[in-house]
Amino acid sequence: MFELRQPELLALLAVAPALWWLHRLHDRGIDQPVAALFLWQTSATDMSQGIRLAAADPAWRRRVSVVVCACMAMAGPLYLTNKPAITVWVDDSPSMFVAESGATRLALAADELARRIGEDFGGGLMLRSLGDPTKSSQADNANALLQSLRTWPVAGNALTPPPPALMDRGRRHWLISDGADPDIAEWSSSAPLSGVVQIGSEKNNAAVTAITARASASDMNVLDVRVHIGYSGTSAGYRTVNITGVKDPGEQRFELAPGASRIITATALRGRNIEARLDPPDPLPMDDSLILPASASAALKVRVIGDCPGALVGALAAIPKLDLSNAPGQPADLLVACAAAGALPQTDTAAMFFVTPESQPQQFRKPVWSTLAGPLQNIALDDVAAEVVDRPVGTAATPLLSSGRGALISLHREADRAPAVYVGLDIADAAWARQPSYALLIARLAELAAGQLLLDPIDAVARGSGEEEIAPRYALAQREVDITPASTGRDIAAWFIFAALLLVLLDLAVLIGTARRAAAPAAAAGR
Amino acid sequence: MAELALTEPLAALDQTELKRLAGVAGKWLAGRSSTMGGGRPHRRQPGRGLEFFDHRPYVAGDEVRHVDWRQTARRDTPMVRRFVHEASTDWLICLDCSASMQSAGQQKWTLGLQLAAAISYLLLYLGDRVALAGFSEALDAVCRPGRGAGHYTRLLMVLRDLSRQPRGNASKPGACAPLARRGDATIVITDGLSAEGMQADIALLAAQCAHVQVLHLEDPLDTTLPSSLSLRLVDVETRRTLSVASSEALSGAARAAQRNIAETLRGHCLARAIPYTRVNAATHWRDALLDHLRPSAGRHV
Repeated sequence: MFELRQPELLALLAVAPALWWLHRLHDRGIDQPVAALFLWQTSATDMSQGIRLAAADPAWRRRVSVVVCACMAMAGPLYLTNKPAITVWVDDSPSMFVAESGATRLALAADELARRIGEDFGGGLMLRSLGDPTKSSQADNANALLQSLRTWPVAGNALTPPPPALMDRGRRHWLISDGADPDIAEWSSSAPLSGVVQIGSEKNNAAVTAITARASASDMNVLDVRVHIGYSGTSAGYRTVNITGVKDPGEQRFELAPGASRIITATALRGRNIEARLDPPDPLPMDDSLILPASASAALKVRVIGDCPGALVGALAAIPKLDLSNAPGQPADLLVACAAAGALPQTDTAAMFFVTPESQPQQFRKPVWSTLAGPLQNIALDDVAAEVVDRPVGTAATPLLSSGRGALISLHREADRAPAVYVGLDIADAAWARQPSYALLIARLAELAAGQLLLDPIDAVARGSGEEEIAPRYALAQREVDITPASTGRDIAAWFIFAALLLVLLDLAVLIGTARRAAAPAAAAGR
Repeated sequence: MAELALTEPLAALDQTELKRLAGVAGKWLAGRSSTMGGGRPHRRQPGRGLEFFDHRPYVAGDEVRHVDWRQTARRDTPMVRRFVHEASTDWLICLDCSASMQSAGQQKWTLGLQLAAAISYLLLYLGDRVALAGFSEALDAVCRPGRGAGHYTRLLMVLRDLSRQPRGNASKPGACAPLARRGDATIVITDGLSAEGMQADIALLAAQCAHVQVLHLEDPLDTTLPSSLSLRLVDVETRRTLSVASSEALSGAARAAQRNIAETLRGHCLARAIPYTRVNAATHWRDALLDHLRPSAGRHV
């Protein structure tokens, strides 16, 4: 049984007679010189059968067939079956990986789905991820379905269900979820879901939701650490948190009230991984531990080259996240260079270039500040000397501070290259170096070059909001969805497209053969 | 004969073979009726000329300058001299130069040129005067009457020039009628492909001169088409077109039409005692010529 989604497009078949008529106006074949046309005219007139003058080019049959195939493909042909195609939307949030009854919720949902759908895969079954719209998987039988769902990875992003209006009405849609996510519950109420597999009963889950670290106010080399613990249970529970990588590692037991969260504080030295682990493990072990890598709090290695004034070096050393003890020859994260414009080094690392004026720089008697929104906006420079920076020539530069003659400070960003800040201010001006704006300007410029906050940064690693919630507290909606008979079939437009392509190729082959025969008429005539 | 740089197809004519053929032809044609194929009008007939033929009694109207006074005195009655009618040995060879002669591989044109040259050689060898006319819808080329080896060279040059220039768009042997004089013999070499038929033109020539022969060249390729093709037939003479689907049935019907044309022309010639020979264009010129010279008219080669 066949059905067409858009049978009105078959009206395009009306071009077929026109095509036939146009082929009657074809070039009337290959020119064949003859000694006397009246021999053939008389023959054609006298013949009782067989010859029709100005007959349509026989190629019209092939070309009409191409048109028919194309029209059929456009009309959306369906091979109707009683087994509609199914799309299963998989809630692959972390809560679906809660272990219950010896298996994850996702595996249990796969069994339940296979039981409810049975072997009815005639129309095909497609698994779609709610966490990753681009992820999908086909299953032709129950085993493939189970195998796919048992190895389904956890979503790395927040769930993004498709807009109901855009869901294919020609397929039956199923949802497997635990009902822990309110967004999925809301989506299920409006989506055309033919079936819902809601699984899960476990409610208590504690998770290390975040670890943050910040330099201590009393000692820049010590970090104040906070471990955030969330609890989504419905009854009070107890957990022990074990924090490693801190000054005083050890276990700490505490009580967790339903829906409460807790913050554990500690101190740690820079350069160590900080890990927090909850004990005893709960049904969702993957969120029972979290690690803040040492690299998150590591200081940037800075190399200072050239004749940089002590005030500049001091201002850089005052920035907590910069390490100026970088030995020569070791890789650096930030390069600081003070030199004349023509002597600045070429580098692939982030850099701050302080251009030494080659002549007497311009003295600004009035305060100078940047009117551009950005890190320099609130810094006013009073009574400074500066020279216009016009290097490097030809690079994409964003002026951060300008005088009437050009840029005094500019940020250069090029594709595949680290950013560089060019500064034309007289950085050796001792009077200016004593002003607060000096250190603040150097710090902001260093942040621009390094591409991160350097003044009092907070290093953190965190889970998504509400990831610790595993309780299936939302009921998922399921409703009967009308599937039109035409939409319950298998799309076979590709077959018609394939046939049309074959016919086009055949037509080309015939044309080439005809051209070759025309090129050798004597041979074609059997001479 | 004089040497002349010739190209095909005229270069294929072998002088030695031509000479041998001429010897045979001379014996065959001696005294043959002019109504037979290849037949020559009797050479020795009284008429206008310079060569003495005989004497006869004077009758009123005879020119006085032809009175032979010595015979008159001897016989005691006015006698006049009669001369061999030299015009009776003049031949006009009319070669069809229409485009249809050159279609389908030029077999007809090749054979036509060779036959015209060979017949000219034979007649010149036998002492006749030969003129040549190439015709299509009008006269394309003319070589005035002449005799001897030098004239054969002139004829070959005309034929050579004819083979180089484009052909006309119709076949009208009647265009040669102004060249034919009463008492001349005319040989028409044609493919007979004329929409109106050639009967009227042949009849015109027959009325114009004493003797007409027809060599009808036929090419089977004229009715052959490439198979399984949609074709647009283009008449090489009129440039008119006709779209057909190639088939064996169509070719068969064309062959029947070709036969019908040939039979009509043959019947016309036989009814007027005009020697007619139908020649397949694929035939060698020697065979075609010998068949025309054999004492049976209207044969097919």
